Amino acid sequence: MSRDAGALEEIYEPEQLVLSDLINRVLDKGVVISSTITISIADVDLVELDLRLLISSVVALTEQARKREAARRDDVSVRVDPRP
Amino acid sequence: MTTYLYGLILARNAERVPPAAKGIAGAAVRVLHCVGGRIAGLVSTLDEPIQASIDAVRAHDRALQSAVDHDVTVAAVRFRQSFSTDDEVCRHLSEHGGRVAELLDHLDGFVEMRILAAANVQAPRTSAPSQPEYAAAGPGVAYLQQLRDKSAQRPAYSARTELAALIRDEHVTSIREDAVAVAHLVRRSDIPAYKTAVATIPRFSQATVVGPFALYSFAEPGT
Amino acid sequence: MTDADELEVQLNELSRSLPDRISAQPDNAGQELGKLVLTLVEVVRKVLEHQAVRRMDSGTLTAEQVERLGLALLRLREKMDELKTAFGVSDEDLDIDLGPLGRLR
Repeated sequence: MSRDAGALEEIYEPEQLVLSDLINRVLDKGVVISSTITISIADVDLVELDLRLLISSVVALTEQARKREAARRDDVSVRVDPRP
Repeated sequence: MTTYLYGLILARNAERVPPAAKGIAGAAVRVLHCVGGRIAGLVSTLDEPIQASIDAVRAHDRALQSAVDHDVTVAAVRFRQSFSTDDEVCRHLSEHGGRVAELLDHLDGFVEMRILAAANVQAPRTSAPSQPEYAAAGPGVAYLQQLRDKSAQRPAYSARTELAALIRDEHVTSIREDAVAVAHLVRRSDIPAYKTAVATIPRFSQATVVGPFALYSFAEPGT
Repeated sequence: MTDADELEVQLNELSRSLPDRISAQPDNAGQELGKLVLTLVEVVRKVLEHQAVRRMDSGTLTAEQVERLGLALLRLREKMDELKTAFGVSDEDLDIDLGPLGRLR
Protein backbone atom coordinates (compact mmCIF):
# COMPACT_ATOMS: atom_id res chain seq x y z
CA MET A 1 0.00 0.00 0.00
CA SER A 2 1.35 3.35 -0.99
CA ARG A 3 2.28 5.79 1.77
CA ASP A 4 0.32 8.35 -0.23
CA ALA A 5 -2.86 7.04 1.41
CA GLY A 6 -2.33 9.92 3.78
CA ALA A 7 -5.85 10.41 5.08
CA LEU A 8 -5.56 7.43 7.40
CA GLU A 9 -2.02 8.35 8.45
CA GLU A 10 -3.45 10.52 11.19
CA ILE A 11 -4.60 7.43 13.03
CA TYR A 12 -1.25 5.69 12.82
CA GLU A 13 1.57 5.94 15.36
CA PRO A 14 2.71 8.36 16.68
CA GLU A 15 -0.49 10.35 16.02
CA GLN A 16 -2.48 7.60 17.67
CA LEU A 17 -0.14 7.73 20.66
CA VAL A 18 -0.58 11.50 20.96
CA LEU A 19 -4.36 11.10 20.81
CA SER A 20 -4.25 8.36 23.46
CA ASP A 21 -2.20 10.64 25.70
CA LEU A 22 -4.60 13.52 25.14
CA ILE A 23 -7.55 11.41 26.25
CA ASN A 24 -5.70 10.08 29.29
CA ARG A 25 -4.65 13.59 30.35
CA VAL A 26 -8.05 15.17 30.02
CA LEU A 27 -10.09 12.31 31.50
CA ASP A 28 -7.77 11.08 34.21
CA LYS A 29 -5.66 14.05 35.35
CA GLY A 30 -6.34 17.58 36.48
CA VAL A 31 -8.07 19.07 39.45
CA VAL A 32 -11.49 17.85 40.58
CA ILE A 33 -13.47 20.77 41.98
CA SER A 34 -17.04 19.65 41.56
CA SER A 35 -18.18 16.63 43.51
CA THR A 36 -20.34 15.33 40.68
CA ILE A 37 -18.09 12.84 38.97
CA THR A 38 -19.82 9.77 37.71
CA ILE A 39 -19.47 6.76 35.64
CA SER A 40 -20.62 3.56 37.14
CA ILE A 41 -18.91 0.31 36.70
CA ALA A 42 -20.28 -2.33 39.05
CA ASP A 43 -22.22 0.52 40.68
CA VAL A 44 -19.12 2.40 41.79
CA ASP A 45 -18.76 5.99 40.60
CA LEU A 46 -15.42 6.53 38.92
CA VAL A 47 -15.06 8.97 36.09
CA GLU A 48 -17.38 11.20 34.10
CA LEU A 49 -17.68 9.65 30.70
CA ASP A 50 -20.12 8.53 28.09
CA LEU A 51 -18.36 5.65 26.46
CA ARG A 52 -20.87 5.39 23.64
CA LEU A 53 -20.27 8.88 22.39
CA LEU A 54 -16.55 8.49 22.71
CA ILE A 55 -16.67 5.45 20.45
CA SER A 56 -19.16 6.90 17.98
CA SER A 57 -17.07 10.00 17.48
CA VAL A 58 -14.09 7.78 16.74
CA VAL A 59 -16.16 6.01 14.11
CA ALA A 60 -17.18 9.33 12.54
CA LEU A 61 -13.61 10.59 12.63
CA THR A 62 -12.26 7.57 10.82
CA GLU A 63 -15.13 7.49 8.31
CA GLN A 64 -14.12 10.97 7.24
CA ALA A 65 -10.55 9.83 6.87
CA ARG A 66 -11.59 6.83 4.83
CA LYS A 67 -13.71 8.97 2.51
CA ARG A 68 -10.81 11.34 1.95
CA GLU A 69 -8.57 8.41 1.19
CA ALA A 70 -11.07 6.95 -1.26
CA ALA A 71 -11.41 10.32 -3.02
CA ARG A 72 -7.66 10.54 -3.27
CA ARG A 73 -7.48 7.01 -4.67
CA ASP A 74 -10.14 7.89 -7.27
CA ASP A 75 -8.07 10.88 -8.39
CA VAL A 76 -5.03 8.67 -8.80
CA SER A 77 -6.92 5.97 -10.71
CA VAL A 78 -8.23 8.55 -13.21
CA ARG A 79 -4.70 9.65 -13.99
CA VAL A 80 -3.34 6.13 -14.27
CA ASP A 81 -5.04 4.85 -17.40
CA PRO A 82 -4.91 1.04 -17.57
CA ARG A 83 -4.25 -0.62 -20.86
CA PRO A 84 -7.33 -2.30 -22.38
CA MET B 1 -27.31 26.90 30.64
CA THR B 2 -24.23 25.72 32.47
CA THR B 3 -20.80 27.09 33.23
CA TYR B 4 -18.15 24.67 32.06
CA LEU B 5 -14.74 24.93 33.76
CA TYR B 6 -11.59 24.09 31.83
CA GLY B 7 -8.82 25.20 34.16
CA LEU B 8 -7.58 27.61 36.81
CA ILE B 9 -5.07 30.45 36.61
CA LEU B 10 -3.66 33.11 38.89
CA ALA B 11 -6.01 36.10 38.70
CA ARG B 12 -3.06 38.39 38.13
CA ASN B 13 -2.21 36.55 34.87
CA ALA B 14 -5.69 36.89 33.40
CA GLU B 15 -4.87 39.74 31.02
CA ARG B 16 -2.57 37.40 29.03
CA VAL B 17 -5.38 34.97 28.22
CA PRO B 18 -6.33 35.47 24.54
CA PRO B 19 -9.81 36.94 24.14
CA ALA B 20 -10.98 34.89 21.16
CA ALA B 21 -10.22 31.31 22.21
CA LYS B 22 -12.84 28.69 21.44
CA GLY B 23 -13.78 25.76 23.62
CA ILE B 24 -16.40 23.04 23.65
CA ALA B 25 -18.98 23.23 20.88
CA GLY B 26 -17.23 26.37 19.66
CA ALA B 27 -18.26 28.33 22.73
CA ALA B 28 -16.11 31.33 23.68
CA VAL B 29 -13.60 30.79 26.46
CA ARG B 30 -13.53 33.60 29.02
CA VAL B 31 -11.89 34.36 32.33
CA LEU B 32 -14.14 34.17 35.39
CA HIS B 33 -12.97 36.36 38.23
CA CYS B 34 -14.32 35.62 41.69
CA VAL B 35 -14.56 38.41 44.26
CA GLY B 36 -11.42 38.49 46.41
CA GLY B 37 -10.04 35.45 44.65
CA ARG B 38 -6.36 34.79 44.00
CA ILE B 39 -7.34 32.37 41.26
CA ALA B 40 -9.64 32.77 38.28
CA GLY B 41 -11.35 30.20 36.11
CA LEU B 42 -11.19 29.58 32.37
CA VAL B 43 -14.82 28.89 31.51
CA SER B 44 -17.43 28.71 28.79
CA THR B 45 -21.16 29.20 29.08
CA LEU B 46 -22.85 26.23 27.40
CA ASP B 47 -26.48 25.90 26.34
CA GLU B 48 -26.73 22.34 27.53
CA PRO B 49 -24.68 19.80 29.44
CA ILE B 50 -21.85 18.55 27.30
CA GLN B 51 -21.69 15.15 25.74
CA ALA B 52 -18.45 13.30 26.23
CA SER B 53 -16.90 12.79 22.84
CA ILE B 54 -13.43 12.94 21.34
CA ASP B 55 -14.29 16.35 19.94
CA ALA B 56 -15.17 17.60 23.41
CA VAL B 57 -11.97 16.15 24.88
CA ARG B 58 -9.94 17.85 22.16
CA ALA B 59 -11.81 21.12 22.65
CA HIS B 60 -11.15 21.01 26.40
CA ASP B 61 -7.45 20.58 25.74
CA ARG B 62 -7.43 23.29 23.05
CA ALA B 63 -9.10 25.79 25.36
CA LEU B 64 -6.30 25.30 27.88
CA GLN B 65 -3.63 25.29 25.21
CA SER B 66 -4.60 28.74 23.98
CA ALA B 67 -3.77 30.13 27.44
CA VAL B 68 -0.57 28.08 27.79
CA ASP B 69 0.60 29.31 24.38
CA HIS B 70 0.31 32.86 25.70
CA ASP B 71 2.61 32.25 28.63
CA VAL B 72 -0.06 31.59 31.24
CA THR B 73 0.47 28.78 33.74
CA VAL B 74 -2.77 26.83 33.97
CA ALA B 75 -3.91 24.13 36.40
CA ALA B 76 -6.06 21.88 34.24
CA VAL B 77 -9.43 20.89 35.63
CA ARG B 78 -10.63 17.36 34.94
CA PHE B 79 -12.99 16.83 32.06
CA ARG B 80 -16.66 17.57 32.42
CA GLN B 81 -16.73 19.75 35.50
CA SER B 82 -19.86 21.84 34.99
CA PHE B 83 -21.72 24.13 37.32
CA SER B 84 -25.18 25.68 37.20
CA THR B 85 -23.86 29.27 37.28
CA ASP B 86 -20.69 31.36 37.44
CA ASP B 87 -21.45 31.98 41.10
CA GLU B 88 -21.48 28.25 41.75
CA VAL B 89 -17.99 28.03 40.30
CA CYS B 90 -16.82 30.81 42.58
CA ARG B 91 -18.42 29.16 45.59
CA HIS B 92 -16.62 25.90 44.89
CA LEU B 93 -13.36 27.71 44.33
CA SER B 94 -13.59 29.54 47.62
CA GLU B 95 -14.21 26.23 49.38
CA HIS B 96 -11.77 23.97 47.54
CA GLY B 97 -9.48 26.29 45.63
CA GLY B 98 -6.99 27.27 48.34
CA ARG B 99 -4.61 24.45 47.58
CA VAL B 100 -4.68 25.22 43.85
CA ALA B 101 -3.91 28.88 44.58
CA GLU B 102 -0.83 27.80 46.55
CA LEU B 103 0.18 25.46 43.74
CA LEU B 104 -0.13 28.11 41.05
CA ASP B 105 1.77 30.59 43.19
CA HIS B 106 4.68 28.17 43.51
CA LEU B 107 4.53 26.97 39.94
CA ASP B 108 3.96 30.19 38.04
CA GLY B 109 6.10 29.93 34.90
CA PHE B 110 6.10 26.13 34.82
CA VAL B 111 4.64 23.80 32.21
CA GLU B 112 4.08 20.08 31.90
CA MET B 113 6.12 18.21 29.32
CA ARG B 114 5.45 14.55 28.52
CA ILE B 115 7.53 11.77 27.01
CA LEU B 116 5.36 9.14 25.32
CA ALA B 117 7.25 5.85 25.25
CA ALA B 118 6.68 2.16 24.62
CA ALA B 119 5.99 0.13 27.74
CA ASN B 120 7.99 -3.06 28.10
CA VAL B 121 8.40 -3.79 31.83
CA GLN B 122 7.39 -7.32 32.86
CA ALA B 123 4.30 -8.05 34.95
CA PRO B 124 5.05 -7.89 38.69
CA ARG B 125 4.64 -10.35 41.54
CA THR B 126 1.65 -9.65 43.76
CA SER B 127 2.16 -7.85 47.05
CA ALA B 128 0.34 -7.35 50.33
CA PRO B 129 -3.18 -5.92 50.10
CA SER B 130 -3.51 -2.17 50.53
CA GLN B 131 -6.32 -2.60 53.02
CA PRO B 132 -6.12 -5.64 55.33
CA GLU B 133 -9.86 -6.28 55.20
CA TYR B 134 -9.67 -6.98 51.48
CA ALA B 135 -7.16 -9.79 51.96
CA ALA B 136 -9.78 -12.54 52.04
CA ALA B 137 -11.72 -11.32 48.99
CA GLY B 138 -11.65 -12.91 45.56
CA PRO B 139 -10.20 -12.52 42.07
CA GLY B 140 -11.60 -9.00 41.64
CA VAL B 141 -9.53 -7.66 44.51
CA ALA B 142 -6.53 -9.66 43.33
CA TYR B 143 -6.77 -8.00 39.93
CA LEU B 144 -6.86 -4.52 41.41
CA GLN B 145 -3.89 -5.38 43.63
CA GLN B 146 -2.00 -6.48 40.54
CA LEU B 147 -2.76 -3.15 38.89
CA ARG B 148 -1.37 -1.36 41.94
CA ASP B 149 1.78 -3.45 41.83
CA LYS B 150 2.19 -2.67 38.17
CA SER B 151 2.15 1.02 38.94
CA ALA B 152 4.96 0.41 41.41
CA GLN B 153 7.03 -0.76 38.45
CA ARG B 154 6.90 2.64 36.89
CA PRO B 155 10.21 3.77 38.39
CA ALA B 156 11.73 1.73 35.56
CA TYR B 157 10.74 4.55 33.23
CA SER B 158 11.97 7.33 35.47
CA ALA B 159 14.27 9.96 34.03
CA ARG B 160 14.85 11.84 37.28
CA THR B 161 18.57 11.16 37.25
CA GLU B 162 19.24 12.20 33.68
CA LEU B 163 17.02 15.27 33.83
CA ALA B 164 17.59 16.31 37.44
CA ALA B 165 18.76 19.83 36.65
CA LEU B 166 15.82 20.53 34.33
CA ILE B 167 12.79 19.07 36.08
CA ARG B 168 11.06 20.00 39.28
CA ASP B 169 9.02 16.80 39.49
CA GLU B 170 8.14 13.65 37.56
CA HIS B 171 5.04 11.49 37.24
CA VAL B 172 4.70 8.28 35.24
CA THR B 173 1.35 7.10 33.90
CA SER B 174 0.35 3.99 32.01
CA ILE B 175 -1.84 5.21 29.16
CA ARG B 176 -2.21 1.88 27.36
CA GLU B 177 -0.87 -1.64 27.83
CA ASP B 178 1.87 -0.76 25.37
CA ALA B 179 2.57 2.88 26.23
CA VAL B 180 3.53 5.09 29.16
CA ALA B 181 3.67 8.84 29.59
CA VAL B 182 6.52 10.25 31.64
CA ALA B 183 5.38 13.70 32.71
CA HIS B 184 7.78 16.38 33.87
CA LEU B 185 7.32 19.72 35.55
CA VAL B 186 9.62 22.06 33.66
CA ARG B 187 10.33 25.77 33.79
CA ARG B 188 9.08 27.33 30.58
CA SER B 189 12.49 28.85 29.87
CA ASP B 190 14.08 25.38 30.13
CA ILE B 191 11.94 23.79 27.39
CA PRO B 192 14.63 23.80 24.67
CA ALA B 193 17.27 22.40 27.04
CA TYR B 194 14.76 19.77 28.21
CA LYS B 195 14.04 18.58 24.68
CA THR B 196 17.74 18.41 23.91
CA ALA B 197 18.42 16.43 27.08
CA VAL B 198 15.60 13.93 26.39
CA ALA B 199 16.97 13.34 22.90
CA THR B 200 20.22 12.12 24.45
CA ILE B 201 18.55 9.42 26.58
CA PRO B 202 18.90 6.13 24.68
CA ARG B 203 15.76 4.42 26.04
CA PHE B 204 13.69 7.37 24.78
CA SER B 205 15.22 7.41 21.30
CA GLN B 206 11.92 6.19 19.78
CA ALA B 207 9.74 8.21 22.14
CA THR B 208 7.54 11.18 21.26
CA VAL B 209 7.95 14.35 23.33
CA VAL B 210 4.81 16.48 23.64
CA GLY B 211 4.10 19.77 25.37
CA PRO B 212 4.19 22.36 26.75
CA PHE B 213 0.86 21.74 28.41
CA ALA B 214 -1.18 23.04 31.28
CA LEU B 215 -0.49 21.27 34.56
CA TYR B 216 -2.37 17.99 34.33
CA SER B 217 -0.39 15.43 36.32
CA PHE B 218 0.95 18.03 38.72
CA ALA B 219 -2.27 19.85 39.49
CA GLU B 220 -3.64 17.32 41.96
CA PRO B 221 -1.72 15.36 44.61
CA GLY B 222 -1.75 11.58 44.38
CA THR B 223 -2.86 11.61 40.76
CA MET C 1 -32.17 2.93 36.17
CA THR C 2 -28.65 2.95 37.58
CA ASP C 3 -25.79 4.58 35.71
CA ALA C 4 -24.46 1.12 34.89
CA ASP C 5 -27.78 0.04 33.36
CA GLU C 6 -27.99 3.27 31.40
CA LEU C 7 -24.50 2.81 30.05
CA GLU C 8 -25.34 -0.73 29.05
CA VAL C 9 -28.40 0.42 27.10
CA GLN C 10 -26.36 3.11 25.35
CA LEU C 11 -23.66 0.68 24.38
CA ASN C 12 -26.22 -1.75 23.02
CA GLU C 13 -27.76 0.95 20.85
CA LEU C 14 -24.43 2.10 19.53
CA SER C 15 -22.79 -1.23 18.97
CA ARG C 16 -25.46 -2.41 16.55
CA SER C 17 -23.88 -0.25 13.85
CA LEU C 18 -20.28 -0.73 14.86
CA PRO C 19 -19.57 -4.30 13.67
CA ASP C 20 -21.39 -3.73 10.36
CA ARG C 21 -18.99 -0.99 9.49
CA ILE C 22 -15.97 -2.91 10.62
CA SER C 23 -16.75 -6.42 9.40
CA ALA C 24 -18.18 -5.21 6.09
CA GLN C 25 -14.83 -3.71 5.23
CA PRO C 26 -12.60 -6.42 3.85
CA ASP C 27 -9.86 -3.92 3.16
CA ASN C 28 -7.22 -2.47 5.41
CA ALA C 29 -9.28 0.64 6.14
CA GLY C 30 -11.82 -1.38 8.10
CA GLN C 31 -9.08 -3.09 10.03
CA GLU C 32 -7.52 0.25 10.91
CA LEU C 33 -10.85 1.67 12.01
CA GLY C 34 -11.34 -1.29 14.29
CA LYS C 35 -7.85 -0.95 15.69
CA LEU C 36 -8.34 2.73 16.39
CA VAL C 37 -11.60 2.11 18.21
CA LEU C 38 -10.00 -0.64 20.25
CA THR C 39 -6.98 1.50 21.03
CA LEU C 40 -9.10 4.34 22.36
CA VAL C 41 -11.34 2.01 24.35
CA GLU C 42 -8.11 0.66 25.84
CA VAL C 43 -7.10 4.17 26.87
CA VAL C 44 -10.45 4.66 28.57
CA ARG C 45 -10.15 1.25 30.20
CA LYS C 46 -6.82 2.32 31.68
CA VAL C 47 -8.44 5.43 33.08
CA LEU C 48 -11.17 3.31 34.70
CA GLU C 49 -8.57 0.96 36.17
CA HIS C 50 -6.53 3.82 37.56
CA GLN C 51 -9.57 5.45 39.15
CA ALA C 52 -10.66 2.09 40.58
CA VAL C 53 -7.28 1.53 42.25
CA ARG C 54 -7.44 5.04 43.69
CA ARG C 55 -10.90 4.37 45.09
CA MET C 56 -9.71 1.08 46.56
CA ASP C 57 -6.75 2.77 48.21
CA SER C 58 -8.90 5.59 49.51
CA GLY C 59 -10.64 3.12 51.83
CA THR C 60 -14.08 4.47 50.91
CA LEU C 61 -15.40 1.23 49.43
CA THR C 62 -16.64 -1.92 51.08
CA ALA C 63 -14.79 -5.15 50.38
CA GLU C 64 -17.73 -6.30 48.32
CA GLN C 65 -17.67 -3.15 46.18
CA VAL C 66 -13.96 -3.54 45.57
CA GLU C 67 -14.44 -7.17 44.56
CA ARG C 68 -17.27 -6.30 42.13
CA LEU C 69 -15.24 -3.45 40.69
CA GLY C 70 -12.19 -5.64 40.20
CA LEU C 71 -14.23 -8.42 38.61
CA ALA C 72 -15.90 -6.04 36.18
CA LEU C 73 -12.55 -4.62 35.14
CA LEU C 74 -11.03 -8.07 34.88
CA ARG C 75 -13.84 -9.21 32.57
CA LEU C 76 -13.48 -6.05 30.53
CA ARG C 77 -9.78 -6.68 30.16
CA GLU C 78 -10.34 -10.28 29.07
CA LYS C 79 -12.90 -9.23 26.48
CA MET C 80 -10.62 -6.52 25.17
CA ASP C 81 -7.83 -9.11 24.79
CA GLU C 82 -10.20 -11.27 22.76
CA LEU C 83 -11.19 -8.33 20.58
CA LYS C 84 -7.59 -7.41 19.97
CA THR C 85 -6.85 -10.94 18.87
CA ALA C 86 -10.00 -10.93 16.77
CA PHE C 87 -8.80 -7.94 14.81
CA GLY C 88 -6.05 -10.02 13.42
CA VAL C 89 -8.76 -11.78 11.40
CA SER C 90 -11.12 -9.74 9.23
CA ASP C 91 -14.26 -11.92 9.42
CA GLU C 92 -14.22 -12.49 13.18
CA ASP C 93 -17.54 -12.41 14.97
CA LEU C 94 -17.53 -9.46 17.37
CA ASP C 95 -20.42 -10.62 19.52
CA ILE C 96 -18.71 -9.97 22.83
CA ASP C 97 -20.27 -9.54 26.25
CA LEU C 98 -18.57 -6.74 28.20
CA GLY C 99 -20.46 -7.53 31.41
CA PRO C 100 -21.68 -4.33 33.08
CA LEU C 101 -20.68 -2.32 30.03
CA GLY C 102 -23.10 -4.29 27.88
CA ARG C 103 -22.63 -6.17 24.66
CA LEU C 104 -20.26 -5.01 21.97
CA ARG C 105 -21.85 -6.88 19.09
